[in-house]
Amino acid sequence: MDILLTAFANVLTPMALLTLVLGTLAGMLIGALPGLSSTMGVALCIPITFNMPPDLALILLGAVYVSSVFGGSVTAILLRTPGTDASIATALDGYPLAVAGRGGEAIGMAALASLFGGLVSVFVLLAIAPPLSTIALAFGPQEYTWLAIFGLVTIVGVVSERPVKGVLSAALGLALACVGLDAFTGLQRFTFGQNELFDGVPLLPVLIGLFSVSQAFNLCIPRDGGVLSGEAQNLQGRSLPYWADLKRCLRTLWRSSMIGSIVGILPGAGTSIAAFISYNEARRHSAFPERYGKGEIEGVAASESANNAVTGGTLIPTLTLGIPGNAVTAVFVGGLTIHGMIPGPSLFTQHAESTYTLIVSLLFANLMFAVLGLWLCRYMVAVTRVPGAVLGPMILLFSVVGSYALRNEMFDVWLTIAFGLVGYFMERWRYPAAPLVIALILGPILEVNFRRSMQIAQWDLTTFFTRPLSVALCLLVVLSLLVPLWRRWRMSRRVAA
Amino acid sequence: MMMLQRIDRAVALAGGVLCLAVITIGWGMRGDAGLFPIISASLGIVACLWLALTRRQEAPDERPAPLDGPRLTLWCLSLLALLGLMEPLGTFVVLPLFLVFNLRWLARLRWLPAVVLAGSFSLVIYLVFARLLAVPLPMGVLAS
Amino acid sequence: MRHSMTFRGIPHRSSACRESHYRGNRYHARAALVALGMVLGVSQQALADNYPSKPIEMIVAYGAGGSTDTMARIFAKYAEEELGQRVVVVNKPGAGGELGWTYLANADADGYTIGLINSPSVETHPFTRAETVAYSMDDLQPLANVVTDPGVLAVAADSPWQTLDELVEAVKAEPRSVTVSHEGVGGDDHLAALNFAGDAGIELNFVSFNGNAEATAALLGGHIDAFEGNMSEAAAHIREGDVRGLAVWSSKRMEAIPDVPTGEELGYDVMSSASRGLALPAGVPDEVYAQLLEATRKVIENPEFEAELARLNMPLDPLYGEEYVKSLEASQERFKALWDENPWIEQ
Repeated sequence: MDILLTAFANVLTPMALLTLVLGTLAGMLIGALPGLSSTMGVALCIPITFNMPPDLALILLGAVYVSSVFGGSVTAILLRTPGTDASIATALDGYPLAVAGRGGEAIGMAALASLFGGLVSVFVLLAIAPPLSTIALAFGPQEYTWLAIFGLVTIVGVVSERPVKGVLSAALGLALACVGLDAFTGLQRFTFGQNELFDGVPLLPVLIGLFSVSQAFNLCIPRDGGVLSGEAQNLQGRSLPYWADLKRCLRTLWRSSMIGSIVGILPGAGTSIAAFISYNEARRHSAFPERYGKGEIEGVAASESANNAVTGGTLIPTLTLGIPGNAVTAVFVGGLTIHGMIPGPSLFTQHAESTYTLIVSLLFANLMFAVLGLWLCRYMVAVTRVPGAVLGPMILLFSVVGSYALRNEMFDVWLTIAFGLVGYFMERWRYPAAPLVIALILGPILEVNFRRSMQIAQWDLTTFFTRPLSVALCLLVVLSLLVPLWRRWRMSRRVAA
Repeated sequence: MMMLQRIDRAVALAGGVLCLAVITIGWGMRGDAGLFPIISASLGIVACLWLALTRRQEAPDERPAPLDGPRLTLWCLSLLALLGLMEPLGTFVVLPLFLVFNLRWLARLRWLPAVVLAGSFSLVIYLVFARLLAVPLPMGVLAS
Repeated sequence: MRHSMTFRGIPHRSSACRESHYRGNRYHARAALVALGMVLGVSQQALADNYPSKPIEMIVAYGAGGSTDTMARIFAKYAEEELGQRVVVVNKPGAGGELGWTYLANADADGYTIGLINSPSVETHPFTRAETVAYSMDDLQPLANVVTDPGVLAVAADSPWQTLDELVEAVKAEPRSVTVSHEGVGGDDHLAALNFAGDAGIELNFVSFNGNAEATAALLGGHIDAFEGNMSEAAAHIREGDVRGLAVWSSKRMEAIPDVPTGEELGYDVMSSASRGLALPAGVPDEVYAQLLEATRKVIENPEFEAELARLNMPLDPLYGEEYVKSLEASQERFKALWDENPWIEQ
């Protein structure tokens, strides 16, 4: 308990609070700009922390990390330009809300949901990190295989009026995921000698292209294009969600925060899996699943609470085992070691004060971005009133410069624009883009873990059904496939009767 | 203007050909490297067949929203110029020009607001990316 | 050799793209500078005299935040003091370092672009990827080696094998029964494990991982039996006691993990390491090269720099100029011979 009080005292000094505010603002900006991922934000801050005392350095890194995840949702909602894959699911319902003139409400909900998810995961981190970290170890390649299948199954049907179009989009994403140097055989697959493709089709150019650039096309090409649709232009719009909406979403918030925390613990699983699984679960439990994708505020709540819950979750294996949960925390580990803190059990004994200061500062960082988000959202909404042809070129330039900044490669910029064109026509012809991106993220996880399981089990396929955790995940997959079918069958019987 | 139904058939055909090519290449790969390309392309072929052979019963066929050809062409040309000239001329030469062009002729702003807006936006990009984040954007003729 | 890919005749449009990419802005800038120099009657010599007169770009062929990047940023911090100029770290990640090294090899040889090279990848790419790789070791002028990170073979703390010999016995009793992680076919861990298996006359079941984090998680979770990786990554776990180091593939024991015996002590002729050093594009003026070498020497001999690296479990292994070139050449020859005999990637 003493140590917690010391940690609070450390965070409440003027210098620490100033660092926290600056870190939060920087994080929100980084998250909102397309192409600047949380990983890059944290990596860019590390040289700055060289000459800082360790406590302040950790506070800065933590604040940038959690607020960048929230920052991505602001542009995802208002402009349908998710900065990172974490906020794709937010855009699915957030943007229709913004189009209807309810952008402020959606951002308000996103801020509160992110706060909720963030706080839940920080409390989990604070209270039961060591026992929970065993989850990270219990997941072997077989379990990751099932998790990836589960993620794929949940997304394909969600976002499409004709599921077959979603399947086609996902198949394309899976095929794209095969591009690059194959770590198992050393073979270069579908790279056609283009060495920019050796590491595979880079995710962010595809993501920025399909969402941001195609959105720039949408805004620029019609003569009177713009975010707001006809009547919505005259709507005043509120900047806080209705109390009734919040109450309605409470169960979703809890469920999504739990999913987010647990998925976060698994190294390499990723934020977008958590957001999509939560989104799908919220839809499954909703009384009005048909409203999803057309501006259901509960969808925003589900995705946002989940992706911010991941932040605390990923820190659990990072701090307790020294195994970073994702790319951001891998960079985090670099930052910790520079300040002499080697991630692992010793963090909670030898460096307990700094470690608890970090965790407590995450609490404050969550509060900080929520307050800033709620306060600034009425001003941020103004961006939706800007004419489309003015907004479009600016979104495009951010995308171009952002995708160049990823690897400092012109190739990525061309790739971004090419996928922008593809995304524009996919949207016109009503092919959902989200399954393609999610398949591109999950494809490598699925393939690598499947083949790794096969290496370990020496091509004995029963390995996927003989481990308790595998069987549980397998049942989840089967259930998520069968339950909607069974429901539809029951509905049709009821209609017939 | 084609109806969506016909567009879907065309997409299915193109997708099917692409998937077949992937399967052919994947078949020749050594070890188990070709396994996943073949699985995903097979999934794609199934989806293409399904898309081409079935049709939506409940809703009538429609046309996609009309496309403004001249504006699309102008926009794409300005995009190509932006990317093509970024390296030889430099990011911060091409960037304001692209903006002025778009704001003046696509957004139909007057000259003064177009130039002011383009200038200030380019300055923001320069400050955030080139200065604050130290991204080595191509500088072209402005180098050194 | 520089653009070997265009000669091999693989039809694609990338060579033109790449050419313009590398030659883009700085080529013109340099042409202008040379022209200016000729007009004013200033020779290359004079340019070298007031070196460095502008910020120096340091190319890192891996992503921001990785261990190579961390080392580069620490080095840059100290090098700035020595050179009196800003040293800007630029990440050019991709293709296992290849993109960054190609960029470095094609940069202007004026001393304003330096880079980090990771051995053995930097010297194995030119022959393992002969068809596509666009640089050769002749395009690079190695400056100094900084860190040499030896390979380690480790098992989880609850593993039944206390020593390397027990593990070897277990595999001999039942071939391919032991799974060993490595981080990608052809990487230094994979080569070390192959080398060890060959030397011990055993057959191991290799499992490929995408990086140290995943492999460590799988080892601690009992999903694989043994772990082959680099010392800097495993040292913290070995000291915590949740991982047991069986052997370190270096000529002497490492300070960070003094209880782990070397392969030599155990009777295995296996040496493996990943090292990180500095290199320049070939053709840098001699004065500039000497100046950079001197600055590097001062940084490496700075006790504060050593202390910072020690915290990251990165053992310093200084090799300067000719010495470094020789060691890289020797290592390239060794791997080339191994490759010719038994290519670990069939082309």
